Amino acid sequence: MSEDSFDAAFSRLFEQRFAPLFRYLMRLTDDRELASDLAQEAFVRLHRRGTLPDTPGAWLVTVAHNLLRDLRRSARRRLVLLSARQERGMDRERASGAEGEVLAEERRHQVRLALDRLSVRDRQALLLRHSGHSYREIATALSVAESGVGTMLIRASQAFRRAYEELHGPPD
Amino acid sequence: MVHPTDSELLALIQHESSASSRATQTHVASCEPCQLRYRTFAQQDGEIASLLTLLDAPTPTVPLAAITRRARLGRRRRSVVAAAAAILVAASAAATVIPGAPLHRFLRGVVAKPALQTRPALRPAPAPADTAGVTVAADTELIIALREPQSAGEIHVIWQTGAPAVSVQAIGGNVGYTVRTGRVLVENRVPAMRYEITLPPAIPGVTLMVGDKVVWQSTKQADAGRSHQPMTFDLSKMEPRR
Repeated sequence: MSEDSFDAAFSRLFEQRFAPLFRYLMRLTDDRELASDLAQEAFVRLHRRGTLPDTPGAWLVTVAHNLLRDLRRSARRRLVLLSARQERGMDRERASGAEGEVLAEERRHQVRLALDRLSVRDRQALLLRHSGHSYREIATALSVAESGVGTMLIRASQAFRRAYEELHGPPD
Repeated sequence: MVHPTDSELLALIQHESSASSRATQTHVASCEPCQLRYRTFAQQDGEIASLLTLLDAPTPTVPLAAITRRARLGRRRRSVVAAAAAILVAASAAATVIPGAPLHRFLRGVVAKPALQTRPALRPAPAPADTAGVTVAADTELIIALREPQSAGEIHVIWQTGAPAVSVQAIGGNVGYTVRTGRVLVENRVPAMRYEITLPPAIPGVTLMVGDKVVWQSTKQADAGRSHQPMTFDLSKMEPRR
């Protein structure tokens, strides 16, 4: 692949995949700045690679996961715990006195708590699917058989619904 | 009739095509219980999707050019680092194999060092004191003085035709020299047992002193007509022997 054709392919990929990757990372980390940094860095590394992998979407997710793991290990950047962040957010919202925002924040809090109850793998699979990643990409990124992704998603969906209903009641 | 599995139904709902998706679709279209399952799964999947959107934040606007610039910058930086590392390795290798290079000497020293050596390696001996000397121009009258009196040792004076300068050399001992215009002061706190003074015959005049005593004096007029034979001064007697 020549440099021009790579640049063109990379440009298309960036246009199509940056938003889903950011959305997934945002949902995973609950940190917009971090999610943006991770998504950008994954694309930077893909460009440095000089060629596109077979499943670029999965490759980007894998790189982002690795970067996130390294960040957590080095503690250079502390991920905000979902619950702790939510508590602070709720405190702020309560202080602001906007009832609608308080309710919305509370629902976000419950969604995060429900996600926290899933295994890491199930949470990642569920978030990847609902961020626009294909079964094949999920299978590659999580190193599982593609044929098992459907079952994993059924399990994750049911576990998430159960957890959410315990916290909040049935979804509206 | 075989009903589709939950995951097959979910794949259909999520528009994930598979080998069985068409068969599943055909089955659901004609199977009422599976249509109910399908609707239930679809509703639940929609609810989950809706809940997860609560976690979303606006996607940042990132120009593609910013990504490619960062990538190229990093690639260049890595190239520079790689080149620097290669140069360093090459220089180290060269320094290792070139005889006389500091690294080469160091490595030779490490390799040659006996494994069980417990004492530090001896340093090279300092330049022997007998090579210590000084040379001064012979165009003016000159006083050569040993600062401290000496009761032992010898001073040899040698006339050397064609010598370009006066040379004063101490053999043994540990002496220093202070040279001023027309004067050479020999710092003989650790005296040498032999001093050799080489003089060109054309020197206008020489005075040899030990301590505050003049041992010998020569002027051009006084030496006129004399042969320039070597002289030895026995410091224990302070009398010159010709």
